[in-house]
Amino acid sequence: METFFRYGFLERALIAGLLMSITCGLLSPFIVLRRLSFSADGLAHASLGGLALGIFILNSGTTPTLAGYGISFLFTCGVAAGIAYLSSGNRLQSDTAVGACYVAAFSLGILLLTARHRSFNNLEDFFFGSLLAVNSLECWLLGGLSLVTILFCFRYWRWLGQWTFDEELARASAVKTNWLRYTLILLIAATVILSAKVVGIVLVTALLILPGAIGTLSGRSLPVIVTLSLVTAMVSVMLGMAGSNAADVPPGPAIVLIVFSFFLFAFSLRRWRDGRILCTPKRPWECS
Amino acid sequence: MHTPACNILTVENLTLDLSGRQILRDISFTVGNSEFLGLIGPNGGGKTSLLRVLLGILNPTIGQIRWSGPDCGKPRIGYVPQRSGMDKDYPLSSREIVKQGADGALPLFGSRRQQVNRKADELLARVGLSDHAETRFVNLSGGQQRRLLLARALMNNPNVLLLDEPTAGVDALGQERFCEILREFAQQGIAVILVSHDISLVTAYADRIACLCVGLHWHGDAQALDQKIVREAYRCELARYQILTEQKSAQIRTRENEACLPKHS
Repeated sequence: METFFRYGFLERALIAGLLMSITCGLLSPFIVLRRLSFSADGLAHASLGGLALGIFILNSGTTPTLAGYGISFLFTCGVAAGIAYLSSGNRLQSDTAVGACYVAAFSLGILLLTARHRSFNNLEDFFFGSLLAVNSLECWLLGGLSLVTILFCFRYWRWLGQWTFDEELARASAVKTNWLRYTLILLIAATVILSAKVVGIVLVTALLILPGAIGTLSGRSLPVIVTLSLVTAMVSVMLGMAGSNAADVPPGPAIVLIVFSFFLFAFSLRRWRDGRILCTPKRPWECS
Repeated sequence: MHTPACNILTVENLTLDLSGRQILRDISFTVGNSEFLGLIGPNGGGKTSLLRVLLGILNPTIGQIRWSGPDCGKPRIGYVPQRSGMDKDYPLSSREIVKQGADGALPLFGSRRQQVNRKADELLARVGLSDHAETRFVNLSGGQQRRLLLARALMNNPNVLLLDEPTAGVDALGQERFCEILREFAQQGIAVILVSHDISLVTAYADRIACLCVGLHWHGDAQALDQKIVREAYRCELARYQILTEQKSAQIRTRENEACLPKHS
């Protein structure tokens, strides 16, 4: 841990990683419970189009600026709106709409990046992150996003719970379900863009889905599920960074593999507990 | 049969059009407090849409809905939806789901939290699910899930309960038990509006029946409902279907005839 505070870039990496884990850990249970995992994955891939568009318009280097992040955010929100439009009116399933939009945005991103940088060969920085290259601006943006996410979850805590259970029931209880949906999508869009540097747009999906999945496998109440998700995300990021520093491997994949191992443990534990509690047709001797 | 002290709901000339299709046509009826109204009718007759209009999820095209007079108090609505749209793998425990029914968006703290916990346990006991307070929703049987949703709807001390086919897929004993609970609530002053396809069950427990087939086909005392009325109401949907089929067939025939006609050069 001492090593992290000896160098400024390592300190920034640790702060950025923890801030990102707070945002992902809080959003993840609601993404999983509302079955938005594929949408989150689609937006994460689509954000490459936004990041590339920012670089293309501003003719900047491969490190996005504040304006670049703004353009990217607007682009990703545009993709989210496109998905919503295509899947409205019962003409197209939402997963088909997500699949169609994200590949188009992703392809656009690749084309724009190669058009601006003919010899561009650092695409893996966007895909898998370059945590050690995180700058102060990105730390501040991640801090702001974490704060907004905390406030959103606290302010609408019980509405979010009702909405995850049943949309119609929530609407009947005067819960503003559209407001919750659009805010959650905006927060996901901002998270995937700002996480591009930390774990990359391909691997951020793991942090948006797995902590929530671990929470829902282990907890039976929303406070427990969200706490488990938050703690898992934070511990995974810290262990992943420490492990990558010790073993000299990229931090993004190390973080993802650690959170996945927690997921496997939670899944096995749930299976074992369900096996003890439930009687199944295959094990009639357990039925009382 | 009892006489309600006041009308908690008055529906006047309600018409609902959705995507150019008439879902409800000129519906008027009243529901008194402590009254048990059974809503029956064929599929596509507009029962669920009527509940959605009453809940404010859909806006009526014409007509108005008035909730309660000055003597009936402010309406507090409890709603039990059709089970089909829900997440069957929802991981929360029964107690947590019942607690979701309490008002407010902020987290619960201190004495308010204890109060809500106590109330949730009371309601679970009332619907016979005390032993399943910690059981996950996914691990409850169909009948238990419906009773749990009823307990959730009661969390806000409602004076009106709207239930959309809550007994569908539940065994006969479970259905009777469910309706007995509803009957008790009605006797305690809660107005109950129950949508069901089980006509014999509704007639056995409801005070009044409304038979919907886009329009209000029949409305009266449960005892006055007979086979003829039911058959006519359900035939109304059949007739509508036949008209549509005949129109479609006529269109197809016309197209075929046009295609077969010799082309004049």
